[in-house]
Amino acid sequence: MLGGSTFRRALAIALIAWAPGAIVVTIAHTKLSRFHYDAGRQEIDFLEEELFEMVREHQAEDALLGDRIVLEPGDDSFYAFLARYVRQIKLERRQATEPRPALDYRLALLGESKVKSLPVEAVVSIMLDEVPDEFHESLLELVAFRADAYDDVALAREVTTEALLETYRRLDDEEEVGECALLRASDGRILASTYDEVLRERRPGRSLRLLQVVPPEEIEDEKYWCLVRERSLQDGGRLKMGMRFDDQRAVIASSRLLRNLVLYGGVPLAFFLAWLQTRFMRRFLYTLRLAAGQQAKGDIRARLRTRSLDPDLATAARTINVTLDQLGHTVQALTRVGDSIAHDLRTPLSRLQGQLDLLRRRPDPELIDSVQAEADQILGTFNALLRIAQVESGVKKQGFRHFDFAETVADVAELYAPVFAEKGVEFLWREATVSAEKIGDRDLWLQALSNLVENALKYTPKGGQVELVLEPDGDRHRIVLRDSGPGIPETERENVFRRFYRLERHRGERGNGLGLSLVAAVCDLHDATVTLGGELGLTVEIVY
Amino acid sequence: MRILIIEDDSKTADYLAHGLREEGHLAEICNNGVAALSRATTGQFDVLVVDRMLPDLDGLALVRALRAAGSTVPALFLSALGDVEHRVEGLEVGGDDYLVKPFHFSELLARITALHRRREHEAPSPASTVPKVADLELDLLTREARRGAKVIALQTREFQLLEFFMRHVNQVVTRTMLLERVWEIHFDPQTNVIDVHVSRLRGKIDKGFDPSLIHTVRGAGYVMRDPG
Repeated sequence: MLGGSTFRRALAIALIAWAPGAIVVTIAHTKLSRFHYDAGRQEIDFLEEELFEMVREHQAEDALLGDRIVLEPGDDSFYAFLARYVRQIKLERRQATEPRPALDYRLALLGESKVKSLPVEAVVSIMLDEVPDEFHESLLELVAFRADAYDDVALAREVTTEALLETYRRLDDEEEVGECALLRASDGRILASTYDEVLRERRPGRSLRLLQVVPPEEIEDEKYWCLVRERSLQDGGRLKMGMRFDDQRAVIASSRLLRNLVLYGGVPLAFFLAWLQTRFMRRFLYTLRLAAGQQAKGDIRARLRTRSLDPDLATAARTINVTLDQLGHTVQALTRVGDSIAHDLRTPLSRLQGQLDLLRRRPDPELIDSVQAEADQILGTFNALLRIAQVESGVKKQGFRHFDFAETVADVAELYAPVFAEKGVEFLWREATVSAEKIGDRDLWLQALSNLVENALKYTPKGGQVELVLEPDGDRHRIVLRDSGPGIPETERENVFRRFYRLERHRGERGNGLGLSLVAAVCDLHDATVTLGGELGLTVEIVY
Repeated sequence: MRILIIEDDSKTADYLAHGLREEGHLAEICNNGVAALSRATTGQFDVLVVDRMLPDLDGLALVRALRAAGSTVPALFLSALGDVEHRVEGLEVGGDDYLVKPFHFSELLARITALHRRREHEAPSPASTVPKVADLELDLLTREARRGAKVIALQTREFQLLEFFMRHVNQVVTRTMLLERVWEIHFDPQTNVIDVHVSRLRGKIDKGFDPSLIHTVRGAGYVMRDPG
């Protein structure tokens, strides 16, 4: 590649590369607009239309992003490109005393007589007078002639104040938040401006500056920042172009905004904004990487920073944080369940072992019953755990069928009524609804309701009272189960739905601490709500 | 009774065979579905105990194939899959009973016996007949129970419970069987709810009468004995 660096910097619109014997243009921007490239002190205009003319000549009507166009010696566009390129290199050389590139191929050109068969680099060398003229005079003439012809066309299309004003008027109809512009004629008259006085007050300057703008009091607006750049136009007019930042939001440049910035403010401004965006993205990625690294090390509390990020990225970061929160809860729940299983099953298993030991020495039918009960208890715990996991996974929804909820509640009431009677607890079953057709899993409801009723039965002392009511609640139904037992302290009410959670005073009693977990899971599966309340005793309310 | 155990877990199979032999049955083990299919069609078995998950031909396919081949030998599924849908699948392919693992051996024994009995008394008594055990009669039309000359008032569920006992007279009936058949409940309540119901029933049909008909079978469940 030969001295193409300056050009390549400008190729936000067209990416150009030399292939052997040809120029390859890759379309990186498909908008038809004027493209200015500011290369330090020189200014080269490049017409994008021209590029698209080439595209039309060589390819289909609508070139797409990423399309490649190969310009070959012999095409007009090939010389147009070369002419611009050589002109640029020559201009740069005049100012800079950089060493001339080695011309390895100079000798290879000897004997060549047709441009078509020359490598592109060779043609460039010729045009830069790096090949001894006496050998290639005719060739050089041909290339130079075409180059000049294209230069003329390009110069005739330089930007004028009039042309810009025309463009501006078109743009004005569709207001673009965040942009501001001020256009002056060569005599200093203001031809157009978007943001009133703001830009007028400021000293003119060509460089890119970030200014803090304090609006006059009558304008009810907050302070803001403005990225401003001024440039002079060919006919003496001046354009001041700014971009407003209330916060970083304005930096999210729409493709249109970016295009306009390129049009008015020049490439550096566009690059600056791109850089800002890159910085946000980098910081986002950094914090993401940091959090992910901590998570990987086992610190489930690690979260992404969401402040001072671009709003879209902040939203993404918050979403990731919410996901991490949920993940954290799940991991904690799993750990807790694992610990509980280990703890809650070790006790009955060691009891079982002891009883078996005794049994070996002295066969005793009662002891056998007790061993059996112990094993049943352990298996029951496992079954309950599996059942809860299965319900929570949601696969049970596939088995949903029509069933009568009122009948299900009645079945449970009828099943337990004699047990209450035997214990000496008054059981009041009131059914305020005859039928409640629903789609769900009758079996799971039977089990969940049984768990609740068994709890009431277990914790309500003799002489107490348990009331079960089913009543309509809008288009849903409400079950209220009220007992006169000791109740659950308000601070514990959320916890009791956790697996293996048992109130301190109930430790050592029969039960596995899974009953309410299943109730919660079943309610959740059916989009029902379950709440615990009660002043004296416990009131469980399910709305389904 | 000749029983074919189709189960690929050798420990479970051995334990089942051992237990069944102790009870005086002939038990044979088959550890894969294909061999079981040929064994079940050639051997004269009274009951098949079929695990659902087998390495080659699964239990459902096996029973379906047997039924397609015209075999009517009672089949009892043993499975860790215990949802209602699973049970329905098992019964739909032609299974006669479905027992969820883990289970008590006494439970299995009671069910095998029930299956065998049912087969022996093929063409079960039509619903209109009046089941009778000793001097206890149940009129399915009037929904009335009578012991001797005394009419006993029963609630709906008590009536169903008594009917179940009377249709399985002299058979061990487990609590799980009662829950499933009388209450259609497929889980084990933590409380002794079945015992309470049975005890209430006994209070109505046995109390003050001689002999008692319903007896507790330790470690298994209940049995209604016909003293005659």
